Amino acid sequence: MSDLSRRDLIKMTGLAAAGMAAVAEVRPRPADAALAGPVVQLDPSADLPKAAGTRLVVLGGGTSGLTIAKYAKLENPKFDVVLVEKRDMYASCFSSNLWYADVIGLEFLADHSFLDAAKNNNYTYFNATAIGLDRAARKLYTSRGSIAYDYLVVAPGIDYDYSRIGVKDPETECSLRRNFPGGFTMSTEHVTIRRKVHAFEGGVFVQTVPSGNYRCLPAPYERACMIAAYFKKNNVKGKVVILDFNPDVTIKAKGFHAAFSELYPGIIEYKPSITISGVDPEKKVIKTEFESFPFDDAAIYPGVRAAALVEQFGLMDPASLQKEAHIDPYMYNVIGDERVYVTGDSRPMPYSKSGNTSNSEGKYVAKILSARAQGKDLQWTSPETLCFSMVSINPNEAISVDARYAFDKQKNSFEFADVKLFENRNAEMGRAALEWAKGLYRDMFE
Amino acid sequence: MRRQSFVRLCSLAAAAQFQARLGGVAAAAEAKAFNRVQLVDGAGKPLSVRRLSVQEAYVFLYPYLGTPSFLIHLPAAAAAGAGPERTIVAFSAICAHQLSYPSKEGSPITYSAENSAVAGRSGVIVCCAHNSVYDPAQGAKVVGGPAPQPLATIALEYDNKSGGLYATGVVGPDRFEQFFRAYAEELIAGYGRGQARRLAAGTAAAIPLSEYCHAPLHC
Repeated sequence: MSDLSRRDLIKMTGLAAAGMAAVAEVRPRPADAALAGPVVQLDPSADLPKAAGTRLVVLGGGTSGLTIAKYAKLENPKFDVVLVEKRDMYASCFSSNLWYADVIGLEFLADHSFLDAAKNNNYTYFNATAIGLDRAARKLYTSRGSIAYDYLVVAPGIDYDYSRIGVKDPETECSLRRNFPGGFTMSTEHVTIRRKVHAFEGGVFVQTVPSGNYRCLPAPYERACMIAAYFKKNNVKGKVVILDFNPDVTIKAKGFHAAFSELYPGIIEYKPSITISGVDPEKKVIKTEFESFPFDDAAIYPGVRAAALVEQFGLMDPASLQKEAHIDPYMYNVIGDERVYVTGDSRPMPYSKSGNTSNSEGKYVAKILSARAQGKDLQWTSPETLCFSMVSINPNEAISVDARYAFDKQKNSFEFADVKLFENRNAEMGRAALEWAKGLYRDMFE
Repeated sequence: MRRQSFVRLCSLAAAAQFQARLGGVAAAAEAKAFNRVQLVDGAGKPLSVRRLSVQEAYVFLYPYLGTPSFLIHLPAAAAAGAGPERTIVAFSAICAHQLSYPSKEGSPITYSAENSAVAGRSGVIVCCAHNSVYDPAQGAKVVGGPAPQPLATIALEYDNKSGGLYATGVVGPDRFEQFFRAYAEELIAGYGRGQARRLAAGTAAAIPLSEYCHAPLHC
């Protein structure tokens, strides 16, 4: 995008955020007129059939968006649902750790079609990138034209926040994104990390664990186990060093500590309470105020924030440390706007940012949308966080947690409720972990 | 033949007879008549209710040749139970949540005669993939986890004279169409093209789950 169009777009979204103003037409500056016309044509409508009912646009084809697109249509057949997704090939973030140790193949994660999901569930998959939002006119602007909506769900997931590990210059951030990706956003990161693991010649492989409510609390620890299992199986003279911001493993601590000490003695080294203050990607050193941790390779998971799009579209809560959306925590609509909803990992509620949470939450949000479209009300129900973590291969063994949430008035926040922990690893949970993921794929795509 | 076509072909008289056989329990639920199929053991002999192990899940393929169902001999009479003491129940073994089912390779969904850690009790059908729990003594009602609806009930008929047990239809919402779509490739590999959707007819073998598949899960 050129500077010209970017400036105008920012102006547009800023106006929309401030007063839901109409979109200004983008025109070239006179000096540029001889060079080209507008780089981005905002107003032509997207090439979509006329809405056959109440148009629900779902932005984002991850777990949250795919679930809502399907279930909103099931809840209310009068919805004409359009799923806007920038990817043309799906691959899940959940279960990706298992690929590093060859517990699964890439097909397990990626053999799922957006087209099939749309066909099976009677909605439209629109392959485009969102570039602007005008809430006053109820229009979503995309790289393939604008789409008028009656209801809009914004489910864009997360982005990284490198400032949380003391990285504030774009050069270092760019280098870290390329050379030591976190492995929790783009699928291409998973490919890179797997190759790192499989091509590791030996030495120290660092896995960092961020502060805050990062995506998938147990995943960095599970990944450490999978990398260690691969090293162990293939006689790689390597060590996995977990540098954890937190004072202890954040979830399923007993089960993970047992795996670290019993399965991977001398391979996994766990270091809690490590506040990273900077990274030198050239020298391969992670720094804290008092120590330096040299590494041979790494998956550096920085802090997490809501996808930048939430901020760009004026949907962010300015008080949110993770730049998450400003929404009603029970009904998910943007405060003051019952036509726009933000769901999935951009939500501000402190739920686990995990696949099962988004899947179960998505079914509830589908009911909200249906109820709102019919002028009805709805009782809040908690999402469910059911999460398996594979800790061993040959045989595959896992641990798990199953929890819901309740609002704690004293703490004025949502807290875990009805928590069931299964921390004695076993092969039955190892098999259930795979079936869990297959079930989610079936639920979203079939 | 697809289910819809089959149901359309059923005569009104047959449908009325089926409803009558189901009795009051199923009167409120959606009931669909399928072929009347006699349950037999692994050797093909008519299943004897007396020889059915109590609290062991058996698997039989009904109402289609590719859709597994559970047959369970409960320790006490159940509302929808069949047999001389109304202790025999049958349900579709396709989880109503996300379609996990018993295949030859394994089964995430099982009947727990012993205590289930997930359910916190015994005598329940538990799907270990997402921790849905169903109570077979209450028509496979959901008693825990995320399943949005009970398992579909397989209507059973007990012949007092011969002691024979027959499956006659399906009561309540089922997930068969989604199942066929989700597992299309797997069902072709397991049964051959077009075979899984064929209606069960004549007899259906009820095999203990522990023999039907390799190491069913317990959780």
